[in-house]
Amino acid sequence: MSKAEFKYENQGNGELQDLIKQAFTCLACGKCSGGCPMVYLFPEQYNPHKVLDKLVENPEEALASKEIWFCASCYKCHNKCPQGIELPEVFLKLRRIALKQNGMGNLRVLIDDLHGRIPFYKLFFRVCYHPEKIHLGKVELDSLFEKSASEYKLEQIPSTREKIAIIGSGPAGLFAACELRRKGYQVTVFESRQKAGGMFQLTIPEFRLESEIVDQNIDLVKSLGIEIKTNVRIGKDILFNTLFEDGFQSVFIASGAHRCLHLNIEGENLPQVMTSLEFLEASKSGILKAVKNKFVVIGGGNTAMEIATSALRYGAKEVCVLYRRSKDEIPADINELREVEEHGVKIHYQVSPLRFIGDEKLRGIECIKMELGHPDLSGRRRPVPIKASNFIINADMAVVAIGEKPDLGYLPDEVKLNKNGTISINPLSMETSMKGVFAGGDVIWGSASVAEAIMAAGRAVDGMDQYLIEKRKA
Amino acid sequence: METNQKEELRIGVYVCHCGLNIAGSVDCVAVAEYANTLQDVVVSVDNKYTCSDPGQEQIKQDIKEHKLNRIVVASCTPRLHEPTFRNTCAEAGLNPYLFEMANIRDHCSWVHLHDKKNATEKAKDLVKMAVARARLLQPQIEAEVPVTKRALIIGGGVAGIQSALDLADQNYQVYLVEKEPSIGGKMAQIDKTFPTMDCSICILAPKMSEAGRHPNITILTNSLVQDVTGYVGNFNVKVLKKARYVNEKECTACGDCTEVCPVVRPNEFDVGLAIRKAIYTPFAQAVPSAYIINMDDCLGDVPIACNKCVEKCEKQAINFDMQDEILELEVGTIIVATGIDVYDPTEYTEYGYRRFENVITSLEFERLINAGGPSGGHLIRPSDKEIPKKVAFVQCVGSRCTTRGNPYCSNVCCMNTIKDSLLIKEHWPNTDIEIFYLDIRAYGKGFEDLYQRSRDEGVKYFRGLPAEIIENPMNNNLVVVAENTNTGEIMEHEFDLVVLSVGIQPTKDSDVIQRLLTLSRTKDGFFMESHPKLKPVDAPTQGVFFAGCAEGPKDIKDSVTQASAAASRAGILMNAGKIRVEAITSKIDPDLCNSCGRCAKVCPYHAIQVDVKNKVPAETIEAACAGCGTCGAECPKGAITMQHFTDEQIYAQIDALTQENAHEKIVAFCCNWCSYAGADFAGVSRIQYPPNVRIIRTMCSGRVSEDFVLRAFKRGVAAVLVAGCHLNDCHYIDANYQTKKRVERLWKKLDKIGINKERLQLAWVSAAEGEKFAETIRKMKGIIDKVTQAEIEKTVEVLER
Repeated sequence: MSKAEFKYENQGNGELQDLIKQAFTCLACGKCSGGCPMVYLFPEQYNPHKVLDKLVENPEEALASKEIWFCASCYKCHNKCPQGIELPEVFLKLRRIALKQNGMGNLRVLIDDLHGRIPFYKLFFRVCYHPEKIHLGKVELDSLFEKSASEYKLEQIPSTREKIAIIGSGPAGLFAACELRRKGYQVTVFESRQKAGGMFQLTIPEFRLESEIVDQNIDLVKSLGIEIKTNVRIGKDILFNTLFEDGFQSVFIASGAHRCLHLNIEGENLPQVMTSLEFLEASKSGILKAVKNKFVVIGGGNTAMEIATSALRYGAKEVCVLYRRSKDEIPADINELREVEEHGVKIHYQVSPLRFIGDEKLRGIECIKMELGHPDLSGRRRPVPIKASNFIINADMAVVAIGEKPDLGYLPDEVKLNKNGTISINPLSMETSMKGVFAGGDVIWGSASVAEAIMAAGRAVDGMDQYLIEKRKA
Repeated sequence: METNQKEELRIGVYVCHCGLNIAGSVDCVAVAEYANTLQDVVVSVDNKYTCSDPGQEQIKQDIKEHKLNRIVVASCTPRLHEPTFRNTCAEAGLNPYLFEMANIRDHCSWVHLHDKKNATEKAKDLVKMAVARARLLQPQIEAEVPVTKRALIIGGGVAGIQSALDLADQNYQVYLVEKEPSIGGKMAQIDKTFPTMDCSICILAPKMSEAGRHPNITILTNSLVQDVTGYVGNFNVKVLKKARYVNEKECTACGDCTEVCPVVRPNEFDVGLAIRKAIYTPFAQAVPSAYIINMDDCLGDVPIACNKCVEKCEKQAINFDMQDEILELEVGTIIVATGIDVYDPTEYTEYGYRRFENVITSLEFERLINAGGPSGGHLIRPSDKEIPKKVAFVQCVGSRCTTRGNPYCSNVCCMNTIKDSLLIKEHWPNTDIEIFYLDIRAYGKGFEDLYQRSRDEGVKYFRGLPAEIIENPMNNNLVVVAENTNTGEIMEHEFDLVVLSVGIQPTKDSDVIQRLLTLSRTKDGFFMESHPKLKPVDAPTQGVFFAGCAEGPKDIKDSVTQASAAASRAGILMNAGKIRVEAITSKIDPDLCNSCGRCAKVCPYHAIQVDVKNKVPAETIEAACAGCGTCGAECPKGAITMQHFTDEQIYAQIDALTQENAHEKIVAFCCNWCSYAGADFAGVSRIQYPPNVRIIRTMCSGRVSEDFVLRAFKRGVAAVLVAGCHLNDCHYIDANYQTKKRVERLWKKLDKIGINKERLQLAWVSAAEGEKFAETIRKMKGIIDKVTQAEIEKTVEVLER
């Protein structure tokens, strides 16, 4: 037993003790840091397993450090840790203890750091850091942001370099725009919708992120000298290939994944059966009438879990989730799962819908039970229906949240796609198969976190910069 | 029984310090002093090491000097030193069955390290129980049984082959059973061996053919062990020899049949990287050197359907009418050499195995670099058949991981990768090789040298496991993202080929062998040895031995060493030609027996004859009885005596432990093979649990009769635990199903008479489940804390009525 462990056992600080015990098991293999978006953004300052090391060595110092504040809870590391350490949860708990012990000092430092790296840091913080989980209300948040000392500095860099077009103004597009602008490029962002912000604007529930904050942050980005053209759809208002004719030297595709996958079963067109994005947009824009009594979500991803919790907030009496594989295969992050279960959402595993029942109004869903066969290419076991295990569950409203695909009809054939409909890229430079065209965010993954989108955008900016430097030389 | 004994009882008690192992947390002097106060104890001393020569000498001397006629040693587990002290007694002229042991180390000092007061009290209780039982012990004569001088070896890898050769050379008949069409195992698939870089098949093939030629070895390939009955020296084994459809003796392995066969399938031996036909031989050096038809693939023998091979075979060796055979073998010893499977890394989704063509496993690498492999020894990457210029190795895939694969270190992967890196450098010196590792474990003779050589050749070693591998779809190259944990820098390196150094795990069907031979497995899934240090190749089941990776991951050298050791252990048994069996069988008193037949019904060995109709009393066939005691527990008339585990002896133990503070105590009846051993394992692992429990050993949980449990409650204990082997793992075939039935019956009974049935617990604890045993006791501590004095008094009252 180390000194640290002993000390805390005696003090009866059970939670910290438990965290230190977890930290003891870390093998320092580095699987958490590789691919971590926050390590990518702050390579000199942050390394998750080194924080654990510090926790073992000197817990007080670890609690008083700013390193425990970096993790953006994307849960990319969690499934990989050979010791099964749930890092985001460890950090969350450490933060709670640190807030009690040391106040908000280090959190302010983090906000400053974020501000220096991401102009729309408020959005980033609100979405990725779950302030409600560390009990920060509106008042605390406002004071936190007000006192932010640093600023996103451009140091009067003139936009003298090449013109670059960015398609999409979600997290990836916005971050790429800022980074490119900082390197002196002339950046134009094209947004097909009325308002910029992409997923920030459309799908993150109002209770987690108010529209006005999104608008404020977009204005901030604009004030850096970045042009955002809304209501311009590439492929309709401007053809993709004409971008080059218009003088853009390079293009970054960050148009997200907005085409929801369908089950293709009977009754899916009933008005009470919505796709994930339809539901999220409707709830965001306030056109969603009260959610019905019995609400069913189909799918096992983070989006499905988010919809389940939102439905409760919007007045559903009973919410359940249908997922066709077992708990071992569910793609939703463990924290999201835990959260919905805490809220009383019932998850039915190994169940697949066969048809939606109802003439004009949804009345129920006929389902079938599934068993798990051999693993498929994704390594997860393939669900197979169990004969004659059909049953019906009641439902007044259902949302199909089984994944989203990018809508890429506007791209020329030179930009090759993967089998699953995402854009095929060089993972180092993020360049597509078409010279000078790069991509990042949900268009390459289907669905990922904001932090990951930002990392992809950052890589793409380096790739584009490199590409244009070479081009200049030629 | 006791009453017939006119002789005066003179008991000697020896309390062992075991250095500080016991004395560290038990006051041994106080225990010895306490023992002196017990009835009939004449001598009571404590000594540093009772098992040492001076310790044993003292016992012998005291037996003579003080005319001792019962000996109690309070030290470690009887599973370790009971044979030692029984010998000591025998040497001093005392019948060895007049010896009793109190386990105050594994069950006491080691599991209550920080509670000297309670540990000492518990040790006193354990000694008191042992003395109480010793007073009732009777001399026994052990029967001798012959040992069949034939051995069965399960698994024809290098370990099985080595054991077979060693035994055959000592002139024993050996059956070598292998489930694949050829012997050779995993070693046949590997290209070179570390640390010497010998060609694997070149050194294995001569052994394989020697085994094939040896007059004392019968090789049964394509065969499975289906059933094992009997006991040490006298096992009856059923082997299913699946039809080969090619006569092994006639086939010359000319290969004409394969040429005409139209069916193409992936070749299992080349891990799917090459093809084979429906009629095939797995590899050139296969033994037996005969082809085989896989009937699932074959189009059939109807001339219209196919029949091409039959027409082509000049020797007419192909016979579609061949049937599966069941062979019945009688053997004296069995060696388990079932080996390993290779871990399938598909679930490591971040590494993209099966999604990315150029991510391969280390076994696939072996086949690719092997001259006899699908690419003729050219290391080519699967996507474009080009020779890779940059190769990465990823270590610990499926090893040392608590969430996926296996938590243990697979022992061989580090050295295998080091060897592989040198193989590449040997053929293509300009290849860039990077190895991503967590720790390099180069612990054996010559290993560090090889590691150094690899570094000298310019192979780069980075400490850090890749977080992800991403394919570049344009050229199928792979980007490995990993932190160099020595510098903290995140590396993103591009490679042509990535080799996942996958771990090894027990064979898929080792659970079948486990059940057939009533073995235990550790939580890693490998077979558990009788003693990890002193009997590393003996199974807990007498007459069964381990060779190779069946017992734990090891390299070729260690497998061969262990195989020879197992052969030697088996040879010792067979050389003696006979073996004594413990005198623990059942005896039935014909005067008390009312011929109800219940005993015969529950006997797992059909070792009891009774004629219920004609009221002929039951009788035990001693040679067939294994001594589980299930009959004794079922007999409603008390007509059955289990020798050396009599009802009176067990009652005496219960009565002794309940003399004081019974209300704080848990009585645990533990079966010798699993639960008692599991409690020992908790001790060896120093897993701490509450000191309230007192363990009474029976050979099988089936021995625990209703009356034992009720007696304990009547004497005022807080709770009773009945613990046995997991169902289907019983060392007496299925006797523990009777335990289950009986405990369920008891629960109903307790319920009916108003006793909280939670106070009787049933647990299945294997010899490897020390933690489970400890957890069971912790849980029961929670239960007894809630049992009030009034509740206990009421129980006593109800039961006395």
